[in-house]
Amino acid sequence: MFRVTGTIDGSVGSVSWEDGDLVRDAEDITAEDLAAVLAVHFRASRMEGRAVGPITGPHTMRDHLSDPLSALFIIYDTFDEVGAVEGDVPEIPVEVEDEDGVVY
Amino acid sequence: MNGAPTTLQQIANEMFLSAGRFEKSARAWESELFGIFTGAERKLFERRSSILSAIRASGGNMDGSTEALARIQTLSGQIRSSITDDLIRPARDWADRSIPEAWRQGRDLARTNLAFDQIPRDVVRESFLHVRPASAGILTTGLRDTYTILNTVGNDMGEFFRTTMTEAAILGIPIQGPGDTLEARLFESGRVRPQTIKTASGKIVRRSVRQRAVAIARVESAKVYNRVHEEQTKAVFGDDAVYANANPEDRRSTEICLNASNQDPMTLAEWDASPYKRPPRLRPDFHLCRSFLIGGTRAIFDAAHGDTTGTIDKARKSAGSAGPGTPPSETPKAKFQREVREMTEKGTPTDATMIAVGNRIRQEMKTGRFAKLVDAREKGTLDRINVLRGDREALSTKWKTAGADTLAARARPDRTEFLGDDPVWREARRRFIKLDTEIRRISTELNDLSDNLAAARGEATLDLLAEVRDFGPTKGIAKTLSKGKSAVRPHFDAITKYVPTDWLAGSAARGPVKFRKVQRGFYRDRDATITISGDGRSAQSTAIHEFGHRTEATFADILDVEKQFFERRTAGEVPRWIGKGYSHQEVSKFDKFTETYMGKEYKFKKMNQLIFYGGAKAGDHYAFELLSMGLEGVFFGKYNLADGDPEFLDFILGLLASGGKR
Repeated sequence: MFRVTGTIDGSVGSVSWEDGDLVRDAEDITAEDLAAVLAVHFRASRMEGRAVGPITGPHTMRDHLSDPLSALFIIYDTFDEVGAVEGDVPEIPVEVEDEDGVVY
Repeated sequence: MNGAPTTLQQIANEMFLSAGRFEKSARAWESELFGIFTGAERKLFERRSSILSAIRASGGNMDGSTEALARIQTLSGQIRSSITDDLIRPARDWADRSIPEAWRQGRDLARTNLAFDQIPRDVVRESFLHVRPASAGILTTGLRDTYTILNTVGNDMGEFFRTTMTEAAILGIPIQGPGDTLEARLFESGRVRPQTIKTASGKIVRRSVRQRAVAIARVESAKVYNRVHEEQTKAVFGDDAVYANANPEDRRSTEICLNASNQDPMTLAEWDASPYKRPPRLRPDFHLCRSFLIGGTRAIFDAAHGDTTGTIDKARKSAGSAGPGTPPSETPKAKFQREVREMTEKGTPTDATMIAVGNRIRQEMKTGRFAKLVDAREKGTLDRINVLRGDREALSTKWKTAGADTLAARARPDRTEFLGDDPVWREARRRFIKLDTEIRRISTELNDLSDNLAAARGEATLDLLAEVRDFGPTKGIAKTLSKGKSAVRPHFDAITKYVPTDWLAGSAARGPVKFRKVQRGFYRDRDATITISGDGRSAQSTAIHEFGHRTEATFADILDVEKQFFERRTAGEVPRWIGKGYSHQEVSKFDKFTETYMGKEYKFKKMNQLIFYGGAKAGDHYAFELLSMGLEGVFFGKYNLADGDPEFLDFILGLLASGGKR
């Protein structure tokens, strides 16, 4: 599970990702959180069929929110500004141990 | 425009091209609004059973009782609400995009018009530095007028339903069946029947909803386009401003429009007082002719030997999508080739010369000649895209409402447990999933078509570039360019056509490249390895990205100009972590790049790297992300370069045309 807090249209909201789901069943969830979740989900739906992920991969082409890294990318792109990123934040895979001279 | 035109003929030629681009945009806006309006009609038609059953009385006929009329009143409110959701809101979103674009293109037309040598450049520049209140007012008024007209269409439709249902009830007309029925009065061939409306001039006409969409898209955008051009030129020419009419000559031209072009230049007030008025002309005699006015001073027009109409005539005949007016001795293609060649042969390449060359190419991409290259490949894709965009926008509001309902049902403090059996949650979720599935289906098709359109533009760009340089591998180069049987090698083979032959030859001369499939693509120069992830277009995009790195490692002049460009653009900026799951060692100078990754730089750090690069020292750059990202932008339509960072696009086009020559 990871959680990203940021601003959208001047409002601060948080989105939590866990197993492809964006909403925690929690009592402290706010209207701003819900608005952020909706915005992220909407962007993901509109990106169906388009590559999402790091510049040179890995990419997902559909069901982006089921993949944690693609979900993270969509969340970043949805927020105007990203603040805290907490939890098991997905990382881009490392391809080679010795990165000397490697350009991505 | 490249190089200041000096004659009215040249100005007119360029303005016809600009007007041709506007015409193309107007067609796309028309198609999109048409899609929104017909979508709204279709939904009303699909709902006809529930509409008709809501007012059905016993026996199948209408009932003129007070209760029945009250039911019709309630139903009218629901229909009005549906029209607001399905027609007015998406159409206002459409207006929010198209009207400002018409305004921007009107300013571009003015820029073209103001390229006369007789006008000091600084005066023209100054006039565009700030948006004048009058110019801003044209945009505001254009948007407001469009909103008003859209509301009128919605009101007319709502009123049509209300009065038709009421009249049918009072007359006791059957609801459905053969002959004169309420259904037949409301619908025809699956559409809302044409309605009788009163035009702004007081004329009573019958118009279908679709006809009104086309008229709104055409007229309102053309008004803004022409007015902002006239306002901007008037501000520069001052009180001396006079205008000559110009009009395309083709089978769609009307005689009266052509007559307007034979008038001597007049002030805007004189045009208003004339029988012709100003474009876009809406009077019945010459409905929306495609004329525009060319502004100038009397001195400028006199300098054209007093034969204004004769001078413009040549341009007029070559207007529209057919391409620019052609001097008899040189075709547009030959002119383009000559000008690019002259620019690329000047001294040592710098980032400034690359940008200048690229800018010349980008200007050529605004011509009818390029549009034809794209049109030949896109085959109606754009029209379908516009329809899908309309469909998606129409669904979006409902999606958001359903989504909010779903989340609200789930997030209530007393619903922290599994909600599968809760009827509120279940219904909200069912509605949301249905809409979301539809949005995803439309988006998949839309994104696929957008990729096809980007591919068409990429191929057309390649056609232009190939007019000034050889692209793709020769047979000899193809044999030595790469080796191995990796599954991802075909992705690389597919993109070599986009690469200048010089670059491929330079790479081949250093030895074959080998490939590997990975999750995250990269390039390593010391063993000439290109790794690629994914499949299809995504993998090809990565392949050309990584070959960009191979190219900057092969040609010192390319790395040099990238460094100049990078350092100028990012001067004084401190690198920042890219975020998004990248390692904290991956930093970038964000600048105004359309994608933060573009500001990443690679420098030698250790001695073991330097072994492979004779003469380099620690701290020297060995790679950037500029060329690699730029190649993806030019040929795969990524990163919104044309609108978001035209200077960057110019730089990449310049590199493609003239960088890394052997």
